[in-house]
Amino acid sequence: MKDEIQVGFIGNPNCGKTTLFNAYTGANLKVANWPGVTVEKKEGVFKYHNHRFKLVDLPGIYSLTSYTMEERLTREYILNSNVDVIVNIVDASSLERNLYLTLQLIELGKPVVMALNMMDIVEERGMEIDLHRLPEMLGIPVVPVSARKKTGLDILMHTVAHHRSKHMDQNLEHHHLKSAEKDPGHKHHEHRHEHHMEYTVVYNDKIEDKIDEISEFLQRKYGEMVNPRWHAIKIMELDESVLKKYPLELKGIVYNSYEEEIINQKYDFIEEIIEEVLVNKNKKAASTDKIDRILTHRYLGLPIFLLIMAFVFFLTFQIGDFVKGGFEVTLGAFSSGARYFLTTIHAGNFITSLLVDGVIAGVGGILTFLPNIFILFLALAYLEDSGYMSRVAYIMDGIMGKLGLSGRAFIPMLLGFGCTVPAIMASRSLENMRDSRRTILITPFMSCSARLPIYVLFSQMFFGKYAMLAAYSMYLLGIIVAILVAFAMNNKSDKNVGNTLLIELPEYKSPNIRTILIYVWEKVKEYLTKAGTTIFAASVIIWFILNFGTSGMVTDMSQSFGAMLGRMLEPVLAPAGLGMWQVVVALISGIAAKEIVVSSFSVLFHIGNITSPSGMASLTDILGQYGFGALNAYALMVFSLLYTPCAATIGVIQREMRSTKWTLFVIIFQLGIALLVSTLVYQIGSLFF
Amino acid sequence: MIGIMIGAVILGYTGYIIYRKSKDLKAGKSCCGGCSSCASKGKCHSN
Repeated sequence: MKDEIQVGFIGNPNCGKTTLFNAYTGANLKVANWPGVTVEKKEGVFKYHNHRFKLVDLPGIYSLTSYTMEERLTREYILNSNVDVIVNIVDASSLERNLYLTLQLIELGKPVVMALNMMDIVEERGMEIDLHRLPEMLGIPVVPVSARKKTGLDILMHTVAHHRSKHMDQNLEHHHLKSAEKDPGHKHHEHRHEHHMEYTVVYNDKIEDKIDEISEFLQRKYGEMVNPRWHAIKIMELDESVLKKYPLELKGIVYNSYEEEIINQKYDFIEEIIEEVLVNKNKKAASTDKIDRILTHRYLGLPIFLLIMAFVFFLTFQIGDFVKGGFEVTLGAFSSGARYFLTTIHAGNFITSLLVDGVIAGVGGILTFLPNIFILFLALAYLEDSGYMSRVAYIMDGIMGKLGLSGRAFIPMLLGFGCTVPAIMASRSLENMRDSRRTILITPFMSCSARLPIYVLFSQMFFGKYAMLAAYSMYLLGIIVAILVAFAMNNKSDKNVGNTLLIELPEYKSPNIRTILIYVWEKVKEYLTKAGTTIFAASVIIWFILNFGTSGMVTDMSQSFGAMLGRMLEPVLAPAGLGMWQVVVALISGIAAKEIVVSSFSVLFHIGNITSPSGMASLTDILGQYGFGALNAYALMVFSLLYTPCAATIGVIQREMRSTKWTLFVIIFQLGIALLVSTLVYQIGSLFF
Repeated sequence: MIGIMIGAVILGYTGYIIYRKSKDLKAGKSCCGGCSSCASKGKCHSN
């Protein structure tokens, strides 16, 4: 007997696979209720009694065809790996839709155990599932579980351990009444075949005859074949990958694809199952439908989304700023304490300045934005886990379609509100390279969280009570620019092949606190790590280039290497109202990470606590002396939003595009767009203000 | 003396960060962090 049992978790998107996987393995894998979150398989280990279960979490799929990357990955895993048992996770509240994949999995011939998840929702809706009849009709064990409440987990693995060596231990009792009704001349009990006792899904006689015939051919030609019936069905569907692997002379057997008939007969059987096992199915709670009637309304959907995002930024600003006060006081005290300590120990001006004006000002300035970042991610996680974000993708589908992009392209753009790196990576789930490249080109325009400190600082410095509005406008501008660029590209390129968005709109639910906390903690950890590494190093480098020049260490920054570099590029940014060498240096350093634009201002102007009211007042005064006002600040925010993405994003673009030429194009293109839009904003604004 | 030590620690740590970042970049690991929750982690990291 094998010590290890390999278990594949397979199911539709949003059925709770990753939550179940996390419950078993204790992993903190990203859980989200939109497709494309799990874009590769994940492995983990769970020990139960004397068994060691190797669990594999696979991407959510609706069928085992080979049209999408997720379907191909899952199918290849089942066919080519040593999986012992497939755990088919099924959303019990959407049993009818989930059963299609179940039937396909059973047909594959490997042992299947059904984990009937979300039974609590079924109960809440007043429905009941006949747990005796369902396994009887499917011929596989069915175990009710709750991934969220962690119930039924041991029983599921117990069943897996027992079921691994026998995949059809139930006595099948089903009739395929619907197929028989649609097949004139053949009553269900008149099937010539005895397949009802052997297989879960039995097609009409015409198809069964052909399956038998092809199976025999396959066995004769490819003796080693494990499941000739499944391969025969795939050949009848003219499945390209199976036909390529097992070439067969089809003349005289299959003249055209039987895919439609096979699908229809599967759905007939599903209808039959639902009629027999689902009690009170019409009692479905209509609350989700009622909410969706408003939130996904053709005309109201988009304005509601914009209002919700405005509320998110209201929270980010108001509550974030309230908490930020404490951080500022701590930073001020720490900065003063460090200066006092270094002076006491006679560390010298060089070290004191490097540590206090360079490191503490640079890193500390960024850390004070932690409350804002925390609130932003908390709100985004809440929206995502409640089920709303999937609706946003659905709302945007029509608009994206008009731009020649798949509605699915908006999913990476939504992820881009958090961080552009995973957003770019999510674009690989798009069906073709053309869509993928166009999405990569526009995704960096979405305002990531790293730009938030720039907006918070400059909007509060120059826009007073309209600060939130100014910052929020950046998010809107990012979406608008992305849409305009996609539109412009659509006119110049071929017409879209018509990839439509197939997205499941999950039930609205109270967000899971654990899921939200994991998500927010990961983001906070990421922010702190970045502050302690990239921003630390960048602050030190900036301090050096601003304190050293051709004659060695300088007391006047205008003689430094930084100033020389900034002056060279001043004329380029002057039309956008950004013709100050200090601004140029800050923007260049922002390519390492966007937050560094803020820490650069700390270092550039020797402001230890830049986010405190006194720090902001000092910076406003200094900038004012250079004629830098509200319009310049807005142009700076626009430029920061649109210009060359950060180094991490550039790296991931290079890897996803696999082309240095394309990566350079993205960098230059974004720089050009940033310059164009910020110049337009500044020049047009100058006419009015 | 303490000043030199503090300076050396800061510069040493900065050098280490630059070395690690450039090494990661060459190895194709260009994520900005937070990889543990990323669904595509396996594409960048072998473990």
